[in-house]
Amino acid sequence: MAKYAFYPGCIVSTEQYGYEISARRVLSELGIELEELEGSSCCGAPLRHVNLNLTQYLSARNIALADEMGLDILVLCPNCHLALRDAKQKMEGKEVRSRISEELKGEDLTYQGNENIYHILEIFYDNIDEIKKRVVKPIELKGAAHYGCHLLRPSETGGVDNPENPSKMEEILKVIGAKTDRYPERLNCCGGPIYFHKPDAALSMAGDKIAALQGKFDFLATVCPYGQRMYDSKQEQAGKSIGQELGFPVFYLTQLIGMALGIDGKELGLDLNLSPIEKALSTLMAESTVPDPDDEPE
Amino acid sequence: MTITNLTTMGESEEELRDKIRAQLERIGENIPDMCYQCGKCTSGCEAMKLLELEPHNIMAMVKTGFIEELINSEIIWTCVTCFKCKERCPQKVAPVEVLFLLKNQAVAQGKEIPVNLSNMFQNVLTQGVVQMPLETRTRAGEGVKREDLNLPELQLPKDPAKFQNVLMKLAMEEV
Ligand code: SF4
Ligand code: SF4
Repeated sequence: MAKYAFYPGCIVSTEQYGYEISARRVLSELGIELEELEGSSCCGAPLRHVNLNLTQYLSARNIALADEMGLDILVLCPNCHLALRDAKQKMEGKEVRSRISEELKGEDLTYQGNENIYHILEIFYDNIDEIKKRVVKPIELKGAAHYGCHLLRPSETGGVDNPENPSKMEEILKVIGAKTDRYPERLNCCGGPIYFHKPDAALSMAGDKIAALQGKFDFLATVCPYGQRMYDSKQEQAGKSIGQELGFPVFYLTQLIGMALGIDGKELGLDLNLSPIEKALSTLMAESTVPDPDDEPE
Repeated sequence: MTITNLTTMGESEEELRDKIRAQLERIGENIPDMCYQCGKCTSGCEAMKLLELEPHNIMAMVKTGFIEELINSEIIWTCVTCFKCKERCPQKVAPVEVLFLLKNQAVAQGKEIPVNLSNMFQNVLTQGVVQMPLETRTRAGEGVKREDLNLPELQLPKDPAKFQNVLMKLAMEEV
């Protein structure tokens, strides 16, 4: 049985709980075992703006922890995924390697870099036949995919798919019974990385994409906590920033796979999505597992 | 007002330019001198439409040595790090990486930086993560904490003192 060191990353494990819950649940359903990456920290990606040394060190220390466990790392966040892969690539350079290895001694860590770093989308894609076999409740709706910038670019470092025309998410959506299509705004950024210091611009970016999807698709699927935060958690504000009423279901891909495998909505954290997912769910699931729409505030 | 208006009075700062160049070489990136101003980066830049970031312009300025102006400008903080410029540049120049180094330089010089970034920086230094688990809410408006969800405890560095020592030391050093 496949086994990985699980690394949800800061944003998922301190805020985007729906991703972590559904990922853990679905992976275990697929017979994939997880061990906590004990003693791990931030990957350092958010600190690239402040000091690249810190990013390099933080990612290297997390890889060193996985080295100790002898397990490949399974990552949920595209930003972490890129930071870890980039750090691993840079550790191939002699100068960086010796400098960072020296600092790692300060935490009694040794870097070997023997383990691979996988994003959960890669794991799903590799298990696509297994997923297909286990579908009991096909998602009979039309879904759009949002990959997240850092999962695709730079392709030479973190890319898990074709950087200009990816297809893995769409292929998975099809396998779980959904219809899908490409759309012009597909590779647009969610605005997430600048949300806190340029909120208006970030919300407009998110709002524009949702507005473009509304009416053409039934839901948006994400594999990125930044994207989910903007399109789902902040959808109401995003609508206000572009002066449009938005009400569009947004799910993590993990939640959609989970539903297709027949897992109860509660176990997938579906009550944590803030976009009006009932619109999509009502046709999909037994009512008992869907939180009552009348409970919604306002 | 665009960045160019701010810079007409600027002088070339060769030292800073050489430093950025050396740093780029160290992290394995091409120097801006390779840029031939085709504008492909800017045409796909996610921060161009709403925030007027023009990566080809940034490259031209770094090449010429108008570094101080950039470091003092808010424009370097508008990049959303979509990495499209790096992916698409025909000359394998990476404006996004140059922008990281300009921001790093601004921090090293003690310039004012977006407050959320300095908070995150503080949080990682002191506790190892960008924020401690937040209370979120359900669609029905109920508060939810991490511990309510049967999730394992958040992972944090085992020896915070040792962790902080290393990070403090690295934070003081130039890239
Ligand atoms: S795409 Fe590359 S060569 Fe063209 S302007 Fe941008 S940085 Fe210069
Ligand atoms: S990474 Fe930054 S500079 Fe490059 S295209 Fe994206 S927003 Fe523009």
